[in-house]
Amino acid sequence: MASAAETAGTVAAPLATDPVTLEVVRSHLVTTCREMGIAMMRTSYSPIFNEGLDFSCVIFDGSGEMVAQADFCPAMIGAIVHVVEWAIKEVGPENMEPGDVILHNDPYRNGCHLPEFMVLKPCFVDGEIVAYAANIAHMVDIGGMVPAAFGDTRNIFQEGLRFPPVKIYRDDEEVEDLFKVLISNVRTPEYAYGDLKAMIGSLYLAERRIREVVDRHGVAAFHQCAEDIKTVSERLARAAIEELPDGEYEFAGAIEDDGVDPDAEWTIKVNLVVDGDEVIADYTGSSPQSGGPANQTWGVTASATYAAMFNVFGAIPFNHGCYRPISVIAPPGTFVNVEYPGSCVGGNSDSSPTSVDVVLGAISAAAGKGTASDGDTHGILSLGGVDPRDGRPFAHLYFDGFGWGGRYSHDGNDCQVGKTSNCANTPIEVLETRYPLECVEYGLNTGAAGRPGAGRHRGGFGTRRVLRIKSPEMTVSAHTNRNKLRPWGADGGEDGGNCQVLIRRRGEDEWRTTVDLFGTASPGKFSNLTLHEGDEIEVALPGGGGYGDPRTRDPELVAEDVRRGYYTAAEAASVYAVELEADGSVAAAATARRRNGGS
Amino acid sequence: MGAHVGVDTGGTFTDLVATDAAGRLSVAKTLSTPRHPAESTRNGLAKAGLDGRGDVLSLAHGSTIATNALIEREGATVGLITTAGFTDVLQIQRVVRPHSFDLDWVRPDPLVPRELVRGVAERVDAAGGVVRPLAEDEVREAARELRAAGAEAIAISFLFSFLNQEHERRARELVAAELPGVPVSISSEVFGQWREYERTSTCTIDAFLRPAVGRYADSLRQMADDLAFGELLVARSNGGTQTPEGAKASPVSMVRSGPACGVIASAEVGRATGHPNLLIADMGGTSFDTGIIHEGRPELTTQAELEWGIPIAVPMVDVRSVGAGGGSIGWLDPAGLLRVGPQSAGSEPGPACYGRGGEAPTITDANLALGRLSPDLPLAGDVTLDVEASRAALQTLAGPLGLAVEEVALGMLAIADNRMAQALRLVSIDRGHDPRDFALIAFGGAGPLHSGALARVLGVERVVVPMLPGAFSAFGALLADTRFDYMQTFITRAATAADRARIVDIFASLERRASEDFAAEGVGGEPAFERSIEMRYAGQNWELEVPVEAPVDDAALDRARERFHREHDAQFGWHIADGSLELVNFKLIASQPRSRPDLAPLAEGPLPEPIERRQVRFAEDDAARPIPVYWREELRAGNRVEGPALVAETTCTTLLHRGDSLVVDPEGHLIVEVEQEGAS
Amino acid sequence: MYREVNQMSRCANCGILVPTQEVPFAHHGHDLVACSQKCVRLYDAYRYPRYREQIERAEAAGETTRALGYATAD
Repeated sequence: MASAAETAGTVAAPLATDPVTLEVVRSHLVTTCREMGIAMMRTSYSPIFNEGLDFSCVIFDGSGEMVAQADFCPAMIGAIVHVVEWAIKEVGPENMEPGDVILHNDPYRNGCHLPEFMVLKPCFVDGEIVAYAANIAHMVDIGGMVPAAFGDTRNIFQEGLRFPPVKIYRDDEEVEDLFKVLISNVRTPEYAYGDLKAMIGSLYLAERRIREVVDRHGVAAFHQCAEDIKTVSERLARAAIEELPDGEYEFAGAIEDDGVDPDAEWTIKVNLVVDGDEVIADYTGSSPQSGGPANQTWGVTASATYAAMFNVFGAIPFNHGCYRPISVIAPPGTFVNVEYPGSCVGGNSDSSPTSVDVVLGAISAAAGKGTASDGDTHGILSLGGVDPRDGRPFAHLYFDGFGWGGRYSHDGNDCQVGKTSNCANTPIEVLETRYPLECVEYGLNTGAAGRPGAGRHRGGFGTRRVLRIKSPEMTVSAHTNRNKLRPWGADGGEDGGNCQVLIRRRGEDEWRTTVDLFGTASPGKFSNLTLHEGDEIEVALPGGGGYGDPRTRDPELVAEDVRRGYYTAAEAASVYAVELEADGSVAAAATARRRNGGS
Repeated sequence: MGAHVGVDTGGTFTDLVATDAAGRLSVAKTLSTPRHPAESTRNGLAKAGLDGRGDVLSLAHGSTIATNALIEREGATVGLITTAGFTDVLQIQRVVRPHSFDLDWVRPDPLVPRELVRGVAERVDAAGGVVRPLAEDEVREAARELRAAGAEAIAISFLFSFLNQEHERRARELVAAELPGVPVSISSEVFGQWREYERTSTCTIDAFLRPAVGRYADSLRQMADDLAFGELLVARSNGGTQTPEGAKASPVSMVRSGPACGVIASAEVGRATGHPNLLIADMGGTSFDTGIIHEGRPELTTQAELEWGIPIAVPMVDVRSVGAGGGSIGWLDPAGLLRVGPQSAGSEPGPACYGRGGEAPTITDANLALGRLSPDLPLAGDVTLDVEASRAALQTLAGPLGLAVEEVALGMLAIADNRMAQALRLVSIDRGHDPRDFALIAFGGAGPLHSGALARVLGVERVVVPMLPGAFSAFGALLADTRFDYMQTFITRAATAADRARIVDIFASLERRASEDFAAEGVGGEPAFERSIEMRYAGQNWELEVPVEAPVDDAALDRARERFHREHDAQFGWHIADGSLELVNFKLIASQPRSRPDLAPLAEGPLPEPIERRQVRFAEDDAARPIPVYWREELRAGNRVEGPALVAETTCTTLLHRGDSLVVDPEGHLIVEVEQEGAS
Repeated sequence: MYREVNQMSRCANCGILVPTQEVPFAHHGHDLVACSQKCVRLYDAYRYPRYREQIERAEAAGETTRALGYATAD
């Protein structure tokens, strides 16, 4: 970044709104988004809402552009810009009335994937729409062939219920017919109803707050303020892009096995064109659309691009202005812009982390701030059945953290979700209380197959969990990646680990893949396997790739890794060329000899 | 003929407030001695002339000792024992990160490194039943290994121990037998609630704090013995007090001891002035601390953090800080916009007007440049304020913005006031309260200067500026009751007679625990109990707390359910009238009032002459205009002052905007009616 | 009445679906649609020059070159 004063001097063309009012209104709107999120967390039903915080809350201005958001789940923040914009355009502001709430979850209509439900409320003042409050959140079960949605679906109709933008509230009342359709088509109707009420309830809260600020400043001043808020962020984003050297930077990564064709791979390729204060992410050359569920919609691809760019922008107030200097080109019919009716439920959850890493790979080349690939698979399991404790149907979406890739600056963090998401895990005590599951083990995945890549800055560790079935029967589906391809290392660092999904039948000792046990096409993506009481599933998530030559890693960090049980002393010597004394401290002279003189 | 004494040890100053036999209050300020809190307390007693044997009838102490130990991470080396298979609970955390987009973010290290964690075979299931017995040999072995690896304190946290404490308690016995003298914390006692990561984290923090809090408690006790105090108490994070020995047994209860005192004092002033609902605005040099008193009681939270992602989940007063204080610096961001804070000039070098080398324009400089602070009245002890230095600092912003110095100053105040108002809104709205139903209580060196503006942004109609606003927390320590909070988790729809019988049992056992604790504290008589239940719609995951009357029979439960529906609707705008409810946490507050000092009332008298008329600039005016300045010590009960005006005192200044109207109440608190429209 | 997404236009530059408010423009003798003025500009400045050969080959063959994100206004 240029110094603040220097940048201020070049971009501080006067804004129409005075700086004080601008800051006052901006922070009012951001606080309002946070309030929406808190209300949703506290009142929703699904753990993915209230423990996972898998939702986003935003405010759009009257022109249909985002002016404020709260920091919850970034995957949606990227896409919600386009989702809300679409809903406003397709419905048309002229067809909206006070008391309307619009529902939309169609992935092709600039959405992310079917489970992402968006609700939108126009806020009227004196008969005019001054702003829109919206939030988007992950519904666990949406009908379709797989409880909790994730498996090896082949088209949108298998995935579940699809809503183009439709009014779910009119005159502040539920549109009963629509609720009936929705509720009768999902497996956990109480959850669906409760979660929707929580989402819509928070819109009403936001509307009140928006009115407060508009009342205080007046409609015209509010509109001007919204414009200026976006302009400020646009200037900051452009200034950040300006810091990157002009040029074209290519990078590509692959997604394995779409659950239909286990031996195939799909390339996500980006050409990042940095031109002054603008950037184009051109995905031309990416693989054609897959027959399975790993495809990304245009919105998911754009969202991943934004997430990667925002990682280099630093702290900028996120709103529509940040997106203006970024253009995304994603050819239709490809893996990064799926065409109707191609399946795409997994693209948003488990392909997009790889997309982010691909863009970060290109940015690394431009900015010199490199990172190896993250573990990039959340180990998603969709679990469904009937809870024998109360006879009620349940659907649970399980995901967990993987290791980040080593970075130019630090080791990768352990146990994180992808850079396009920021959801929390479900505590064991919540999980077992809610669902007929027993967690047998939950720890860092230090096994040989999943271990992170060594490097000057090594990758972080993923998680490993073993779940035991506690109901007579349970349906299990999965959408995971990196069972074959490893997260790439960077700058001489080693590749990271693999993901494993294994099953052990009750009374047996051996862990087996689903290919082996059930004859599934893929070991990582499958639908509706039936497990029985006492059967166990292991989900072990990969560590990230390493960054830099392992033999340049600080020997003290290697000693610490050994102390923590990540490597044996023998591995410290063979992988890192670090010799340890009997007490675990670094043998400096021997290490120097080993590092200088070769192994 | 002894004195009642309240002490608050802050980062810079230790404040001591004492009552004499006539109920008059006196204040003594001494420099803090953070590592030896008893020392500055003793100095304060000497300054107040209370360091003879028998001078002190009672002393209550608020301290930052636990907070400091945590911030500096100076505590015991803790070894952790978990259920086998779950030793990485602290390493995994909750897999989230604080900001969505930050490639360089590094996760904070857990308090206990991986090599100091051992798992032992045992398991309790989600119904509270033992499905795998405790492997006692493994506990002994784990204890020995951890000790050998350097552990100085042991934390034990097993899955579902909040439903069944048997294994944790037995494990503690085993560790104690194996490692005599090594302190042990068990999670079900520290925080008996679900979510294993949060509970385990809190338990390790408790173990971590044991040595520091132990030394603190012993040194206070030593002082009390030396000086023959009648009674010695320390303030707890929950806004109550306990003996130092009680604090030693539950160190984590001391984490927010200091801030809790300000909250207690607020509740007390609210009671005395007839304001059961208060928003707290405590503005000092570096931060603005907010909290909330609802229906006479401080609101508590269990969602505090040591640092990001490391929870301390015990009930503590819900005080939240934002970086907006007198020292907060105004600056221009890269887009040329005016920003304020969170960077602060602190007390060294301090605001530009201190003349100690600070050159950045601060909130204090803005107030001074607008005439709202007097250069002639010392602000912090012996500092005199240099108006020209403030104006020069503000000019560095005024130039690039093309504004006058006064306009920049007004802008900085508006931005800071707005940030503080947002913080106040969040503490109230998080809890479903509308800030307009509250009065604002303002204290700290800068609180009463900004309270009028805050009240206007929030739509609050009344501001209370209490007595001793500059030593208010020490005043609070003087007033705190003995209080303990208890909770038991039992998730039930209370559908069967057996469930309901268990609920009755739970409350009975919580009451037994309370009686035991009060007996151990040496407090005579039965404590007063308040019962509540946290419940939710079956399927929700977060609860709302509603009171329940004793006896907790079917009718009482029905009334509590009704209250839940109403409360849910009030907070979130919707409810499901026929939705089935889950009862989750059963809570008991046990408290016993301490004997309070009787405070002498303020005499009535005519309004004194202003000590000066000063040129003060307001946002709605084009230029500064003269307004009267009153000296607070000269004000008498019943005096009425109309804004615009200033009320100055040694540690603080109260600003009345145009349309504000102040009345001095019989106890000496200032009650300000705020005009809602027009002024700024 | 309901319009399925496969009946909607795609932006000739970025590939996004355009529900309403398409921006029509003419380029090398073809009538095209974009989602915004910015995409019209980028089509001319970046996409067409870069992929001209593929685009024209596909046009000559009478194919819709959807894999290149090129869609006609029909």
